[in-house]
Amino acid sequence: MAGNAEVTHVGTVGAFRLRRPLLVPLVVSREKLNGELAQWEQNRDLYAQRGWLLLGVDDLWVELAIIQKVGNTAWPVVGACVGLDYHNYDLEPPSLTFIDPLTRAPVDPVFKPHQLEGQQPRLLVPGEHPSTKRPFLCLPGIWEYHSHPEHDGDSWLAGHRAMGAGRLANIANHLWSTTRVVFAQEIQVNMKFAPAFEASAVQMAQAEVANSQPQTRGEPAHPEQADEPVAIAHDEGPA
Amino acid sequence: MGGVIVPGKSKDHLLNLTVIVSGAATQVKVNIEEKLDHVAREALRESGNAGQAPDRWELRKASGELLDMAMRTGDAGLNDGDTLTLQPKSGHGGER
Repeated sequence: MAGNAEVTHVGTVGAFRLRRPLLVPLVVSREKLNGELAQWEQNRDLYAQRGWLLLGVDDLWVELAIIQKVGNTAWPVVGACVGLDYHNYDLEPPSLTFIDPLTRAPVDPVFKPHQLEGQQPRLLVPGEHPSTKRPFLCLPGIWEYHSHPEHDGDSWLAGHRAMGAGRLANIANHLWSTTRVVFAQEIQVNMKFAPAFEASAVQMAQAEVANSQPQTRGEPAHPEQADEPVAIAHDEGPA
Repeated sequence: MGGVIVPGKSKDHLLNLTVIVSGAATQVKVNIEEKLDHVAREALRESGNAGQAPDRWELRKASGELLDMAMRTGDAGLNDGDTLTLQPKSGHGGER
Protein backbone atom coordinates (compact mmCIF):
# COMPACT_ATOMS: atom_id res chain seq x y z
CA MET A 1 0.00 0.00 0.00
CA ALA A 2 1.37 3.38 -0.92
CA GLY A 3 1.59 6.21 1.52
CA ASN A 4 2.31 4.64 4.89
CA ALA A 5 4.67 1.84 4.05
CA GLU A 6 8.40 1.96 3.43
CA VAL A 7 10.30 0.67 0.48
CA THR A 8 11.29 -2.85 1.46
CA HIS A 9 13.84 -5.18 0.00
CA VAL A 10 13.65 -8.92 0.19
CA GLY A 11 16.89 -10.88 0.15
CA THR A 12 20.38 -9.53 -0.30
CA VAL A 13 20.18 -8.05 -3.80
CA GLY A 14 20.52 -4.32 -3.50
CA ALA A 15 19.83 -4.61 0.23
CA PHE A 16 21.90 -1.48 0.86
CA ARG A 17 19.28 0.68 -0.82
CA LEU A 18 18.02 3.68 1.07
CA ARG A 19 14.64 3.00 2.67
CA ARG A 20 12.30 5.67 1.42
CA PRO A 21 8.59 6.19 2.02
CA LEU A 22 6.62 4.08 -0.45
CA LEU A 23 4.56 6.54 -2.48
CA VAL A 24 3.61 4.47 -5.53
CA PRO A 25 1.96 1.04 -5.44
CA LEU A 26 4.54 -1.59 -6.26
CA VAL A 27 2.44 -2.97 -9.09
CA VAL A 28 2.52 0.39 -10.86
CA SER A 29 6.29 0.79 -10.67
CA ARG A 30 6.79 -2.85 -11.66
CA GLU A 31 4.57 -2.40 -14.70
CA LYS A 32 6.49 0.66 -15.84
CA LEU A 33 9.90 -0.93 -15.31
CA ASN A 34 8.87 -4.19 -16.98
CA GLY A 35 7.78 -2.20 -20.02
CA GLU A 36 11.21 -0.59 -20.23
CA LEU A 37 12.95 -3.92 -19.78
CA ALA A 38 10.89 -5.37 -22.64
CA GLN A 39 11.94 -2.46 -24.85
CA TRP A 40 15.55 -2.95 -23.78
CA GLU A 41 15.33 -6.56 -24.91
CA GLN A 42 14.15 -5.44 -28.34
CA ASN A 43 17.17 -3.14 -28.69
CA ARG A 44 19.62 -5.35 -26.86
CA ASP A 45 21.96 -5.93 -29.81
CA LEU A 46 22.36 -2.23 -30.51
CA TYR A 47 22.98 -1.48 -26.84
CA ALA A 48 25.50 -4.32 -26.59
CA GLN A 49 27.49 -2.79 -29.47
CA ARG A 50 27.81 0.34 -27.37
CA GLY A 51 28.82 -1.64 -24.31
CA TRP A 52 25.55 -1.24 -22.40
CA LEU A 53 25.02 -4.51 -20.54
CA LEU A 54 22.36 -5.52 -18.05
CA LEU A 55 24.11 -7.54 -15.38
CA GLY A 56 21.02 -8.47 -13.44
CA VAL A 57 17.39 -7.69 -12.77
CA ASP A 58 15.50 -8.17 -9.54
CA ASP A 59 12.29 -6.74 -8.11
CA LEU A 60 12.42 -3.02 -9.04
CA TRP A 61 16.18 -3.32 -9.18
CA VAL A 62 18.44 -3.27 -12.24
CA GLU A 63 22.22 -3.68 -12.38
CA LEU A 64 23.82 -2.04 -15.40
CA ALA A 65 27.40 -1.97 -16.66
CA ILE A 66 28.88 0.33 -19.27
CA ILE A 67 31.88 -1.09 -21.11
CA GLN A 68 34.30 1.36 -22.67
CA LYS A 69 37.32 0.85 -24.88
CA VAL A 70 40.49 2.50 -23.65
CA GLY A 71 41.62 5.01 -26.24
CA ASN A 72 42.53 3.43 -29.55
CA THR A 73 43.24 0.05 -27.99
CA ALA A 74 41.05 -3.04 -27.85
CA TRP A 75 41.11 -3.03 -24.06
CA PRO A 76 37.57 -3.15 -22.71
CA VAL A 77 37.04 -1.85 -19.20
CA VAL A 78 33.98 -1.38 -17.03
CA GLY A 79 33.58 2.37 -17.26
CA ALA A 80 30.57 2.43 -14.98
CA CYS A 81 28.59 -0.09 -12.99
CA VAL A 82 25.44 0.92 -11.17
CA GLY A 83 22.40 -0.43 -9.41
CA LEU A 84 19.10 1.32 -10.10
CA ASP A 85 16.21 1.23 -7.65
CA TYR A 86 12.83 1.81 -9.32
CA HIS A 87 10.63 2.00 -6.22
CA ASN A 88 8.21 4.93 -6.51
CA TYR A 89 8.84 5.08 -10.28
CA ASP A 90 7.93 7.23 -11.99
CA LEU A 91 6.49 9.62 -9.43
CA GLU A 92 10.15 9.74 -8.43
CA PRO A 93 13.15 9.02 -10.66
CA PRO A 94 15.22 5.88 -10.06
CA SER A 95 17.85 5.94 -7.35
CA LEU A 96 21.36 5.18 -8.59
CA THR A 97 24.15 3.54 -6.61
CA PHE A 98 27.62 2.93 -8.00
CA ILE A 99 28.43 -0.73 -7.38
CA ASP A 100 31.37 -3.07 -7.82
CA PRO A 101 30.76 -5.25 -10.92
CA LEU A 102 32.05 -8.32 -9.07
CA THR A 103 30.66 -8.03 -5.57
CA ARG A 104 27.73 -5.72 -6.49
CA ALA A 105 28.42 -3.82 -3.28
CA PRO A 106 28.37 0.00 -3.20
CA VAL A 107 31.70 1.58 -4.17
CA ASP A 108 33.26 4.89 -4.95
CA PRO A 109 33.38 4.71 -8.77
CA VAL A 110 36.85 4.16 -10.20
CA PHE A 111 36.05 6.27 -13.24
CA LYS A 112 34.04 9.31 -12.34
CA PRO A 113 31.66 10.61 -15.01
CA HIS A 114 32.31 14.10 -16.37
CA GLN A 115 30.58 16.49 -18.69
CA LEU A 116 32.43 18.78 -21.02
CA GLU A 117 31.47 22.45 -21.05
CA GLY A 118 33.53 23.62 -23.95
CA GLN A 119 36.94 22.24 -23.02
CA GLN A 120 36.24 22.41 -19.29
CA PRO A 121 35.38 19.08 -17.64
CA ARG A 122 32.66 19.14 -15.02
CA LEU A 123 32.74 16.42 -12.37
CA LEU A 124 29.40 14.65 -11.99
CA VAL A 125 30.25 12.77 -8.79
CA PRO A 126 30.81 15.71 -6.46
CA GLY A 127 30.82 13.81 -3.17
CA GLU A 128 28.49 12.07 -0.74
CA HIS A 129 24.77 12.48 -0.94
CA PRO A 130 23.39 13.80 2.39
CA SER A 131 20.80 11.01 2.63
CA THR A 132 22.66 7.96 1.33
CA LYS A 133 26.15 9.01 2.50
CA ARG A 134 27.43 7.51 -0.73
CA PRO A 135 28.90 8.97 -3.93
CA PHE A 136 26.09 9.95 -6.27
CA LEU A 137 25.61 10.83 -9.92
CA CYS A 138 24.67 14.48 -10.02
CA LEU A 139 22.46 14.51 -13.10
CA PRO A 140 18.78 15.23 -13.70
CA GLY A 141 16.75 12.04 -13.93
CA ILE A 142 18.43 10.50 -10.88
CA TRP A 143 16.74 10.47 -7.46
CA GLU A 144 19.93 11.56 -5.72
CA TYR A 145 20.11 14.69 -7.89
CA HIS A 146 16.51 15.78 -7.40
CA SER A 147 16.53 15.02 -3.67
CA HIS A 148 19.73 16.98 -3.08
CA PRO A 149 19.19 20.30 -1.25
CA GLU A 150 21.19 22.14 -3.89
CA HIS A 151 18.77 21.05 -6.61
CA ASP A 152 15.44 21.67 -4.91
CA GLY A 153 14.64 24.20 -7.62
CA ASP A 154 14.97 21.62 -10.38
CA SER A 155 12.01 19.32 -9.82
CA TRP A 156 11.80 15.91 -11.43
CA LEU A 157 8.16 16.61 -12.20
CA ALA A 158 8.93 19.88 -13.99
CA GLY A 159 9.93 18.54 -17.37
CA HIS A 160 12.49 15.83 -16.60
CA ARG A 161 9.85 13.17 -16.07
CA ALA A 162 8.06 14.14 -19.29
CA MET A 163 11.32 13.81 -21.23
CA GLY A 164 11.89 10.35 -19.80
CA ALA A 165 15.12 11.39 -18.12
CA GLY A 166 14.89 8.47 -15.70
CA ARG A 167 14.22 5.80 -18.28
CA LEU A 168 16.70 2.93 -18.26
CA ALA A 169 17.93 3.55 -21.81
CA ASN A 170 18.50 7.22 -21.08
CA ILE A 171 20.43 6.56 -17.88
CA ALA A 172 22.60 4.10 -19.83
CA ASN A 173 23.18 6.78 -22.44
CA HIS A 174 24.13 9.36 -19.81
CA LEU A 175 26.58 6.98 -18.13
CA TRP A 176 28.03 5.98 -21.49
CA SER A 177 28.57 9.51 -22.74
CA THR A 178 29.86 10.91 -19.44
CA THR A 179 32.35 8.11 -18.84
CA ARG A 180 33.61 8.41 -22.43
CA VAL A 181 34.84 11.85 -21.42
CA VAL A 182 36.91 10.22 -18.68
CA PHE A 183 38.57 7.85 -21.09
CA ALA A 184 39.25 10.60 -23.59
CA GLN A 185 41.12 12.40 -20.83
CA GLU A 186 43.00 9.38 -19.61
CA ILE A 187 44.05 7.90 -22.92
CA GLN A 188 47.48 9.46 -22.69
CA VAL A 189 47.94 8.27 -19.12
CA ASN A 190 46.77 4.77 -19.80
CA MET A 191 48.93 4.35 -22.86
CA LYS A 192 52.01 5.08 -20.77
CA PHE A 193 51.34 1.79 -19.04
CA ALA A 194 51.62 -0.10 -22.32
CA PRO A 195 55.29 -1.09 -21.76
CA ALA A 196 54.39 -2.46 -18.34
CA PHE A 197 51.55 -4.49 -19.82
CA GLU A 198 53.92 -5.76 -22.48
CA ALA A 199 56.58 -6.75 -19.95
CA SER A 200 54.00 -8.66 -17.93
CA ALA A 201 52.71 -10.35 -21.06
CA VAL A 202 56.24 -11.41 -22.04
CA GLN A 203 56.85 -12.91 -18.61
CA MET A 204 53.55 -14.75 -18.68
CA ALA A 205 54.15 -16.02 -22.20
CA GLN A 206 57.64 -17.21 -21.30
CA ALA A 207 56.26 -19.01 -18.27
CA GLU A 208 53.62 -20.68 -20.43
CA VAL A 209 56.25 -21.81 -22.93
CA ALA A 210 58.42 -23.12 -20.16
CA ASN A 211 55.57 -25.02 -18.55
CA SER A 212 54.29 -26.51 -21.78
CA GLN A 213 57.58 -28.08 -22.86
CA PRO A 214 59.39 -30.95 -21.19
CA GLN A 215 62.73 -29.91 -19.85
CA THR A 216 65.71 -31.68 -18.42
CA ARG A 217 67.05 -30.21 -15.23
CA GLY A 218 69.57 -27.52 -16.12
CA GLU A 219 68.97 -27.80 -19.86
CA PRO A 220 66.44 -25.85 -21.86
CA ALA A 221 64.37 -27.93 -24.24
CA HIS A 222 65.45 -25.70 -27.07
CA PRO A 223 68.81 -24.26 -26.13
CA GLU A 224 68.97 -22.11 -29.21
CA GLN A 225 65.84 -20.28 -28.07
CA ALA A 226 66.55 -20.17 -24.38
CA ASP A 227 67.46 -16.50 -24.24
CA GLU A 228 65.17 -15.27 -26.97
CA PRO A 229 62.29 -13.15 -25.77
CA VAL A 230 58.80 -14.05 -26.82
CA ALA A 231 57.47 -11.39 -29.15
CA ILE A 232 54.15 -9.91 -28.12
CA ALA A 233 52.42 -7.75 -30.66
CA HIS A 234 50.74 -4.62 -29.44
CA ASP A 235 49.43 -1.44 -30.95
CA GLU A 236 51.64 1.56 -30.72
CA GLY A 237 49.87 4.27 -28.84
CA PRO A 238 50.55 7.94 -28.69
CA ALA A 239 53.74 8.96 -26.98
CA MET B 1 3.61 7.85 -40.45
CA GLY B 2 5.47 11.13 -40.24
CA GLY B 3 7.58 13.01 -42.74
CA VAL B 4 7.16 15.78 -45.23
CA ILE B 5 7.48 14.82 -48.86
CA VAL B 6 8.84 17.65 -50.95
CA PRO B 7 6.76 17.95 -54.15
CA GLY B 8 8.53 16.64 -57.23
CA LYS B 9 10.83 14.31 -55.29
CA SER B 10 10.80 10.61 -56.02
CA LYS B 11 10.79 7.66 -53.64
CA ASP B 12 14.55 7.63 -54.00
CA HIS B 13 14.56 10.72 -51.86
CA LEU B 14 12.77 9.06 -48.97
CA LEU B 15 14.37 7.15 -46.13
CA ASN B 16 12.58 4.80 -43.78
CA LEU B 17 14.29 5.04 -40.42
CA THR B 18 13.78 3.41 -37.06
CA VAL B 19 14.36 5.92 -34.30
CA ILE B 20 14.61 4.61 -30.76
CA VAL B 21 13.25 7.42 -28.60
CA SER B 22 14.21 6.97 -24.94
CA GLY B 23 14.28 3.23 -25.52
CA ALA B 24 11.05 2.90 -27.53
CA ALA B 25 11.31 2.24 -31.26
CA THR B 26 9.30 4.35 -33.68
CA GLN B 27 9.24 4.47 -37.47
CA VAL B 28 9.68 7.65 -39.49
CA LYS B 29 9.82 8.33 -43.21
CA VAL B 30 11.78 11.42 -44.16
CA ASN B 31 12.98 13.19 -47.27
CA ILE B 32 16.74 13.35 -47.63
CA GLU B 33 16.45 17.06 -48.33
CA GLU B 34 15.14 17.66 -44.81
CA LYS B 35 17.49 18.44 -41.97
CA LEU B 36 18.02 15.90 -39.22
CA ASP B 37 16.19 18.29 -36.94
CA HIS B 38 13.09 17.25 -38.86
CA VAL B 39 13.86 13.57 -38.25
CA ALA B 40 14.00 14.32 -34.53
CA ARG B 41 10.72 16.26 -34.59
CA GLU B 42 8.95 13.47 -36.44
CA ALA B 43 10.31 10.83 -34.09
CA LEU B 44 9.29 12.87 -31.06
CA ARG B 45 5.82 13.36 -32.48
CA GLU B 46 5.39 9.70 -33.37
CA SER B 47 6.56 8.63 -29.90
CA GLY B 48 4.14 10.87 -28.03
CA ASN B 49 6.66 13.59 -27.27
CA ALA B 50 5.15 16.22 -29.55
CA GLY B 51 6.14 19.74 -28.64
CA GLN B 52 9.51 18.78 -27.19
CA ALA B 53 12.33 20.95 -28.51
CA PRO B 54 14.75 18.82 -30.57
CA ASP B 55 17.71 20.84 -29.33
CA ARG B 56 17.24 19.27 -25.90
CA TRP B 57 17.76 15.84 -27.44
CA GLU B 58 20.70 14.11 -29.09
CA LEU B 59 20.46 12.00 -32.23
CA ARG B 60 23.01 9.23 -32.76
CA LYS B 61 23.68 6.52 -35.28
CA ALA B 62 23.50 2.93 -34.06
CA SER B 63 27.29 3.03 -33.77
CA GLY B 64 26.98 5.87 -31.28
CA GLU B 65 28.18 8.61 -33.60
CA LEU B 66 26.56 11.91 -32.65
CA LEU B 67 24.69 13.56 -35.53
CA ASP B 68 24.47 17.30 -36.12
CA MET B 69 20.77 18.17 -36.24
CA ALA B 70 21.49 21.00 -38.68
CA MET B 71 22.85 18.51 -41.20
CA ARG B 72 20.85 17.56 -44.28
CA THR B 73 19.56 14.00 -43.86
CA GLY B 74 21.03 13.01 -47.21
CA ASP B 75 24.49 14.10 -46.06
CA ALA B 76 24.45 12.10 -42.83
CA GLY B 77 25.54 8.82 -44.39
CA LEU B 78 22.25 7.13 -43.58
CA ASN B 79 20.72 4.25 -45.49
CA ASP B 80 17.13 3.19 -45.84
CA GLY B 81 16.24 1.00 -42.86
CA ASP B 82 18.90 2.39 -40.54
CA THR B 83 18.31 2.66 -36.81
CA LEU B 84 19.06 5.83 -34.84
CA THR B 85 18.69 6.69 -31.19
CA LEU B 86 17.15 9.89 -29.85
CA GLN B 87 17.68 10.62 -26.18
CA PRO B 88 17.50 13.64 -23.88
CA LYS B 89 20.75 15.48 -23.39
CA SER B 90 22.24 14.86 -19.98
CA GLY B 91 21.30 18.23 -18.57
CA HIS B 92 23.57 20.13 -16.26
CA GLY B 93 24.78 18.83 -12.98
CA GLY B 94 27.89 18.31 -10.94
CA GLU B 95 30.61 20.79 -10.17
CA ARG B 96 33.76 22.08 -11.84
